[in-house]
This record gives sequence, structure tokens and C-alpha cells, in this order.
Amino acid sequence: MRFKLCVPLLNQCAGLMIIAGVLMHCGPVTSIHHILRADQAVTIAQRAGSDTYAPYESTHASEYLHKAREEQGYSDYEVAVRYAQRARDYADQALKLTRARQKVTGALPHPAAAKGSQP
Amino acid sequence: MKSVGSRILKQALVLVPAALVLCMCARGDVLTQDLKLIRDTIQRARDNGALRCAPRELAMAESHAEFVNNELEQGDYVRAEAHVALASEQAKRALALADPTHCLTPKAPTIVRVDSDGDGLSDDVDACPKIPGAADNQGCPLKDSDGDTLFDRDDACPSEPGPISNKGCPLKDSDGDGVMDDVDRCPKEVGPMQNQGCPYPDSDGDGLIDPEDGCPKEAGPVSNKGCPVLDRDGDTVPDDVDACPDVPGDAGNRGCPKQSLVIVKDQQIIIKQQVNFQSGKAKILPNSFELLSQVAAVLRSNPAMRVQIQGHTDNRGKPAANEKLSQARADAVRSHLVTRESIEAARLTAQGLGQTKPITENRTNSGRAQNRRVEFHIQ
Repeated sequence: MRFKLCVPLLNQCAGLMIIAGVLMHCGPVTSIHHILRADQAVTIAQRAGSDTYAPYESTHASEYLHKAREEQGYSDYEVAVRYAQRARDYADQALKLTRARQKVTGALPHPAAAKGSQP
Repeated sequence: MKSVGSRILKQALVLVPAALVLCMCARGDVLTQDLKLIRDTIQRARDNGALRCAPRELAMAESHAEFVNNELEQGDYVRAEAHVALASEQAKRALALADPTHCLTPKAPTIVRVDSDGDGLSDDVDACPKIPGAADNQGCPLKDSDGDTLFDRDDACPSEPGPISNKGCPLKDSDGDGVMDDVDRCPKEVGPMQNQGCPYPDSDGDGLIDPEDGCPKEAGPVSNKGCPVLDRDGDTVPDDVDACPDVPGDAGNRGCPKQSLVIVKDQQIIIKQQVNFQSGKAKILPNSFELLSQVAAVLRSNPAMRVQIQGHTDNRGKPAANEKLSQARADAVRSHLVTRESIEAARLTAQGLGQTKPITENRTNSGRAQNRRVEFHIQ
């Protein structure tokens, strides 16, 4: 009797695991995951002042993130993931530079920012 | 007719796609050429310092150039063209903003420093960022350990209070006269404050300093306020001790002239006082020494003079005894003149006449006193 009850449960668990595995390796899910992480990294860097202290890296990060979303929209997940990763790398780099430059110059705007360079 | 149409249709079906393919290929080449130009522009902008002066434009140009490449690989020429336009625009802007004269030479960052305590030193170099302080003390307030209002930095004696005029060191009084050295004109000599610490001079050297000397140019005793004592009568006895300042006198007589106690008259040296003897004896009392001295002076001034010294008594007592006493007294006077006054003994004789020659009555005391006498008779 007990065995009879357990079989449907096992079948359900196995099904869920298979679905989860598929979803994990599914293009849209992966690219969305990378894009979200990149978006988070870019946001953190910008809040830290990367637009001022590391404008080059920050602009790169924003553009790559934008392009990743665009590629995601065109269902080109592989490229989207690649751009999302690039965006995240630039965002991390921008954050590091921002913190380093803030430490050196105090609460100073970066010379480039003061120049009025706009994307 | 139908066959001709179908043939044309077939040709068109072949040619149009072929034309499209050729067109697309040509478009791809153009975009590739554009991308190459963009990359050249980006490189020139980089070389001119765009990374420093136009980082956003450079980043935009570079990223969109990469996107162009990606779109060309995917064959999406429409999106590639959009990226080419954007990359080209940003690359040109980056190149325009990148002035090599300014962008290649790294500028010293204009550092706006925070100065929390407002002492002119920014917090990053201020050792005391919350307390205003002097710049040369690393922004910390200067100390004044001895509280003499002079900061330790400028205080030659930071642990001892002293006036600013003495560089914060306590004033010294080297000569201990109560006048500090900084205002003491004679720091090595004791002197009053009124004379700026210098001793008053004693111009006449009489022991009285000039301010206290009534006569600073003339020496004089303290008793006369430093002024010389006059001697108006010129008897060498100063007026202050001269009982007779206007009459020359003898120093032994307090400057007064001696009274002449003797007169030479009628072959006799008449004495104005009596020679006094000890009662009942032949000892001359000292108060008669001056009288005898004057008698001796007469004898000395008259070297040829010879004198008989006569002794007389009153009538009390026995005549023989009186004669004997008068003789003894006459001898005593002669002896006094010889020994004390150095009169030659040969010039003097002594005779005791007792009560035989009274000069007045013996009934009264005064009469008897007159009769008790010594007389000097010139021979």
C-alpha cells in the first residue's frame, strides 16, 4: 500500500527535476540570469559614482548591457550572454576604479567628468 | 507567348535573388570599409588622449564598433548600419574632444580639499582636523605651556613664564636691587628704581649720595647733611662744635678764648681765683691746674722773672700748725710749677706765713676764705 503511494511522488519529483534542469540550461533563462547580474553590477557601479570616476568603463558597461538586452530581445541568447558578461566585467572594473580614485582624490569629481564629456 | 513569359519569369526568379545577393554583398563591403574607418578614427582619438578627455565618446565608439562587427557576422546589415552611424559619430566626437596638447599631458588633478576646522589646512594634511591650528604646527593649536601668552614655538623659555619683550623668559635681577635687568641701566650695580637701577653718585665723596647730600659738590659730615661745617672765627674749631663760633678760641676750651685768670700788677702775679687744696692738706685740687698753668705762662713769657710763692691761712687752729700748713701748700704750688709746668726751680721760692697776714677779717666764713690764699710775689 505504501509502495503504491510512493510511486506517484517519485514520478512527480523526477519530473520537476527534469524541468528544472532543462530550464537551467535553457537559453532565455541563462541569458536573463546573466543580464540581471550584469544589471545589478552596473547599478552598483553607477551608484558608487562610476559615471564620474570611471566614465570609460562605466559607459562600456552600460552599452554592453543595453546591447545584451537588445540581443535578448532578438532571441540571440548566446550573444546576449556574451555581452552581459562583458557588461558585468566592465561594471566591476568601473567600481574598482571608482573606489580607488575616490580614495586618492577624496570627494573629487574625476577630471574627465568635470570636462563635460557626455555619451 | 506563354513560354516567353514563363521564361522571363524563370530568369527573373534567378536574377532577382542573385542581384539581391550581390547587393547585400556590396553593402557588407561598404559597412566593413566604414568599420575600418571608424577603427582608424578611434585609434587616432586614443592616440590623442581621448581616453582622458573623451572617455564616454571613446567607449561608445568602441562598443558600437564591436557591435557592428557582430552584426556583420550575423548578416544583419540594417542593425549594423545603425551601429556604424552611432560609432562613427562618437568616434568623431572623441577625436574632436581629444586635443593632444591638453589630453596627453596628465594634468595635476585639481584637488578640492576639505578643511573641517577652517584653519586653512585641508583635513588630509591637518594633524588636528577638528581643531583650528597653525599651518606650521600641522594644523594643531599651538601650545603655551607656561601661560605667558607666548606660544612654546616662539618661547625661549617654554616652561617659565616671561614677558614677550624677553622672548618669554623670566626677567632677571642680576644685582638684586629690585629693578629687573631689562629696565636696569646698571644691571651689575645696585641702584634704586628712581635712578633706573643705577647707584646714585657721591660726587664729593663724603659718604652721602648726591640726592641726600645738601651740598653734593662739597664734602661734609652726615650730621650737617653732607655740607661742610663752617668755621667763621677761623679758630680751627668747626662752628657746630664751637661754643663761640664768632670768637677765635682754644680747641680745648670748645673754641672759646681762655679766661685770663692772672694779672701782673704791682710786683705781683695777681690770681683771680684761689688755688684750691684738699681740706687740711697740701694737695692741690685739679680745678686749680688751669690757674697754675696761666701763672706758669706768665713766668715763661718773662724768663727773668723770679717769684716768691706765699702760703696764708685763716686764724682757725693753732698758729704753728697754720704756719706749717701754709708752708706745705706753698711748697706744693712750687713743686707743681716745677714738675708739671717745667719752670726752673731756681726762679721760685716758697714761704708759709700762716695766719700772720690776713687780708680781711676772720670773723666771717667769706672773710676766712679770702684769707686762705696763695700769692705770687715778683722779686
